[in-house]
Amino acid sequence: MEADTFTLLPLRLDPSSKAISSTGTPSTALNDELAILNTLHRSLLTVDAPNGVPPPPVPVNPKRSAQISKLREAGNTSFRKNQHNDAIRMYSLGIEMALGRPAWEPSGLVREEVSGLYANRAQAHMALQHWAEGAVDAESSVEMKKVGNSKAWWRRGKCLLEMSRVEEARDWVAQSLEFEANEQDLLLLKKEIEVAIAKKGA
Amino acid sequence: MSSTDYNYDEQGQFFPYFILTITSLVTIPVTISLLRPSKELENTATRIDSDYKPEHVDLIDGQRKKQRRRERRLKRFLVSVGGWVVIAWMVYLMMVTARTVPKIWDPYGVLGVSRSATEKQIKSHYRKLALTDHPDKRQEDLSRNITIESINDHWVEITKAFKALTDEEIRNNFLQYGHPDGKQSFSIGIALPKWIVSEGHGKYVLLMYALMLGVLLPYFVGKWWYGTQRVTRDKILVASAGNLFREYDNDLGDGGVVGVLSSGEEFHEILKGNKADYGTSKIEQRVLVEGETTPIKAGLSEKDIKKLKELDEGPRRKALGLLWAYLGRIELDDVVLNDEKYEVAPIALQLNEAFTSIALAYGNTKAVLSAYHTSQNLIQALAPNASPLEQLPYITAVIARGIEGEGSRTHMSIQDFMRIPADQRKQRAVAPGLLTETEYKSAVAIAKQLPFLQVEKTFFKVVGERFVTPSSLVQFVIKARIIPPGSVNVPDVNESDLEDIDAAEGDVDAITGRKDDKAGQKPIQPPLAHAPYFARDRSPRWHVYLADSKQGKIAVPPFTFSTFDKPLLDESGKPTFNVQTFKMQFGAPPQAGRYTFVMHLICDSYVGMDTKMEVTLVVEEASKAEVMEEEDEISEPDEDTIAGQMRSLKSGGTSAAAKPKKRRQDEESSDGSDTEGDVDSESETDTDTDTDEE
Repeated sequence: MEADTFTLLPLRLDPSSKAISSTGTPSTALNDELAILNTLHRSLLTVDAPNGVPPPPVPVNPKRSAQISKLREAGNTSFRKNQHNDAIRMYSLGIEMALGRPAWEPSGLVREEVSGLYANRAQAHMALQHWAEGAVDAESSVEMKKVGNSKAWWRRGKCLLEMSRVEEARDWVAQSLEFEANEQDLLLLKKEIEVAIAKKGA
Repeated sequence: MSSTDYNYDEQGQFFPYFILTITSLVTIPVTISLLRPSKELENTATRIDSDYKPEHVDLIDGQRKKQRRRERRLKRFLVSVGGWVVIAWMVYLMMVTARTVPKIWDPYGVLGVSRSATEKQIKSHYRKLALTDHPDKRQEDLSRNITIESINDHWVEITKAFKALTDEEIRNNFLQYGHPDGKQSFSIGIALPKWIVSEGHGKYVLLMYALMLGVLLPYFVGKWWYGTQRVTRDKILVASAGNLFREYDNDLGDGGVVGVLSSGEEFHEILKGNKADYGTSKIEQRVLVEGETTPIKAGLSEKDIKKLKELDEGPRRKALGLLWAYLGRIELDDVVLNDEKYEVAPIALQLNEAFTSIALAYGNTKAVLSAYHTSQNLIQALAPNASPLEQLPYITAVIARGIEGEGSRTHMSIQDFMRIPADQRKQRAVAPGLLTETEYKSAVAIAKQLPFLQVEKTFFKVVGERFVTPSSLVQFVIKARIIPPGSVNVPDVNESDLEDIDAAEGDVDAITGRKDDKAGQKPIQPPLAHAPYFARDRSPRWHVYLADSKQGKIAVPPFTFSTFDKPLLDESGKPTFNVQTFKMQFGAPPQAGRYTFVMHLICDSYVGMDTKMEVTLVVEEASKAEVMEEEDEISEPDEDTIAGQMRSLKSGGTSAAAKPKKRRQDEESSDGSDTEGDVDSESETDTDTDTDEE
């Protein structure tokens, strides 16, 4: 839409929280815009720079990065102790933390952190034999980072196989081999899936 | 006739020639273009036999008829009929108008000798005539109306003619200029009737000129010019192309493309006035009903619903609603709305073609794939992620689900369905609530006629070389067979068919790909797409492209083909399973190495018939290829040929290199590439916990 019309929208500013909300007819598009604006406002408030001006994208705030890696470490430790539910909780917190990074920080970093955390959470789910959750987490991880993420690719393939969704598993692994053609684990999994399909067909 | 005045055509004997010439200049080309059969694919292809009539077949046929009427070229027809009438009238005028040619006295004719006669012959002939026609020798014969006067006159004429011909000068004048007095002045006539310039008519003529040059000429030139300015090369409005371009996004899914297509200005034209809002809420209500097999009956995703709801009321919102209703095969319970539903689909397909070219310009695999899938969906009236089985007659979403099995999460393609042994297949499909016996038969009959293209072999080659060298012009050759789903006793591929023999060296056309392998043989067209809901005829097209999956980009842009080089069916209508050859050319990468691509072969008219496979292009160092040539006695070019000289220039002193490893250039195995960087930034725990499942 070209900017040749001006529409006055009925908006309201909350006096205490300074959040903006619409008072007119509800519209999802408007609400989404306002939600983004309010998040930006909140993240600007939490900037601990002296003058309130957001810092440059790099270097990132080390505090949050440290927190995220601490959560991941904690998750890993729990996982090793076979406390899978704790591990899942830690990873979830870490994911939330990483996704909560303010908008001016580089999104590549978020992808990197989140894909690792999702991959780990998928593994924790798999250890609990929660195949469906594991598959979804692994897929999210792959969506964040396709290349060099063979473990997440493998985990979703495995989860699908465990749920005996063999055709999907086959397609998934075939796709993964486009990215990680030399990964031994994936090639093994592919064979395993082929066996399962043959068994199913017979 | 001896002055250089302009004479107007007072007797009206010349202007028919003028009018005839002018009219035929216009009429004949128009008639040829009218009568020449259209070369468009859609008009020359056969059809798939089907007696299936979808619901509202009358509306769909009505839309088809409307389109045909639009294509009928009524104007051209009228022009040519009018032209021929004028021509016929002019010919008639020419026949009936007496030609007034001024008669020139011709002494040869009078004497009755030929023009080539010599003086001697003329003299002897004159003497002969003197014996018979001299007044002294002839008798008056009143019964035959011969009087003394006429005999005398005749003799005088003969004598005059003889005198003229025996005079050297006059005779020469005759032979050279056709006139006894020598060269005559020209007379220039204007093939227009005189009344045009006669007193009082001048202003009408002037008015005519003003009308032609001042009004009609600017009008037609302007119409032509703005007509070409209004539409793009893909035959969509420029404004629509702008909208599509603005809405383009790399991450649009199949449903997202539908949303983008609704931005076409073409929809404003068909949904004008009060049509723009009529029934919008009803459509949306129907479209957003919960489905038995999918969350939303029309197959919209969360995102698509959001998109639909975000749009302002108006033609675009209605068009999007109609498109979804069409894709979901939703009954709208209203003749007008149903009609509009079938009307929007062909428009959307046209827009989608423009969208595809935009997506291709960005080169993003996902977007291009979505565009092609949308084409399939539009032609088959299927929502994104609907079961491909719904392409067959009588099969609805519920029935497709029933055939696929309740728990099935993936859709079965038509090929999969037809691959099930016949009795099991029937058992699955024919059941209460599913198909009846006859419906099943009809569905299977259609399935067996669909052109599924099965790739048998693919390889890369450079014409006349054994290796692909850097920066050479590579041909990607696909050998494929049309195997209709459910074909039994498919013969094995004849190995010799899979080879690609280079054309003869002198055959430039074949080498440059300008000519098909079988010269003179007409390309074979597959039958028109079986698309009972799509209100146009559509000839299926196949697109092949190579993609780089790591970057998600297209490496080699699509090559489209719609005809085959060998017949698909034999005389009795059975599939021949001939191996068809397709070639696409592109420049090889400038560096040697192994390049892995994913080949996509997509038919734009049928859902679920895509082929995706990995192909590896091995590019060898140029020096290696040369050494190979060195060893190869047969291909050694003679020193005195150009090729030989080129080679000796290129190879210089390196001809005695080490023995090369023999490798075939046309590898197609899927062993992957080693070009990918080893970026392993996994978290530490991943290293030790991979083996603890089971």
